[in-house]
Amino acid sequence: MNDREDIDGLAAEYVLGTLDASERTAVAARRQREHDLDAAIGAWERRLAPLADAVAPLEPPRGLFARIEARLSDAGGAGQIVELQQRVKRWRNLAAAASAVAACLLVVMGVREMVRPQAPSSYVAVFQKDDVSPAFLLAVDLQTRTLSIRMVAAERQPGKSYQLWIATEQSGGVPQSLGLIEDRADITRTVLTSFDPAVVQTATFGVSLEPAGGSPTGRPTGPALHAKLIPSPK
Amino acid sequence: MEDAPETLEVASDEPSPLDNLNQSQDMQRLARCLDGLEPDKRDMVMLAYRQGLSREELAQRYDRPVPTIKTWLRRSLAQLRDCLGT
Repeated sequence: MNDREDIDGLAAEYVLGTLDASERTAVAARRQREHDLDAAIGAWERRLAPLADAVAPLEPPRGLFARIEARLSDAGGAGQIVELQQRVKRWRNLAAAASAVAACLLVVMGVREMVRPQAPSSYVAVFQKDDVSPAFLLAVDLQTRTLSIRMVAAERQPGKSYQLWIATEQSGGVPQSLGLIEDRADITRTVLTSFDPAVVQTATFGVSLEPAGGSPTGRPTGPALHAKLIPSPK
Repeated sequence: MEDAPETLEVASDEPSPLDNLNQSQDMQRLARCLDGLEPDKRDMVMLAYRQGLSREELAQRYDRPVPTIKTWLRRSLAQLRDCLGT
């Protein structure tokens, strides 16, 4: 009796769908081997089939939904649902508003970015040999405080060196050596790291022709070209 | 089935008028038997079958421990089976 009822109850709950996942899996496996269980499941499927019939749904017992709703509101369920729905609406509105604000900001920032040119960090200085030919091109990156200098129309003089100088307000306009301009066409140096970028930006640069190996005095001694930094054209 | 001898069944996938009649008779019988359950138990069976509520969800909804829900379900189903006589 107990066994039979247990199997029948199990089959009934299996069809009703109230078994938990592990029980359900176990029953699904057992029915392959246990004919009694399989038959009981088949019987319950037939008994409850009218409930599942979508073509002619069973009219629910009168007042069923009213009772369910009453039970829901007794438990505070309906109230909670309404409140949750309102909350969802609020969040949705908030999210929409936030998105709109973000979109506006994006536009404003984009426009500002276009209107206000970025503070340039790349500068160049052109040392003119004559009215038409640049002798040297100096490029300075204030952000990384690196410089590179390129010989353009300048020519190597035998037994001589070109030397690069910087004269700042801080040094009272006295040139300080930034080193020799070597044979390589393009050299990059980090000799500006000890200078304030604002100072570098307003400094005067010079290239002088010195004896081989550079000025013996630490000051420019030969003919010199001078130039100031201008923002690098992009 | 006693009302519908097997020889009358039509060999077709479409439900015959007789099938429909049988179906609605099955439904009416089931509805009568469901009505015989206590309202709570009937709702529980309906909620489980039609809306897929688990024992745990029913336990929450009816504010009863899960084993109690299991006992209610099994008793209700046994009562239904006895009422249907099938």
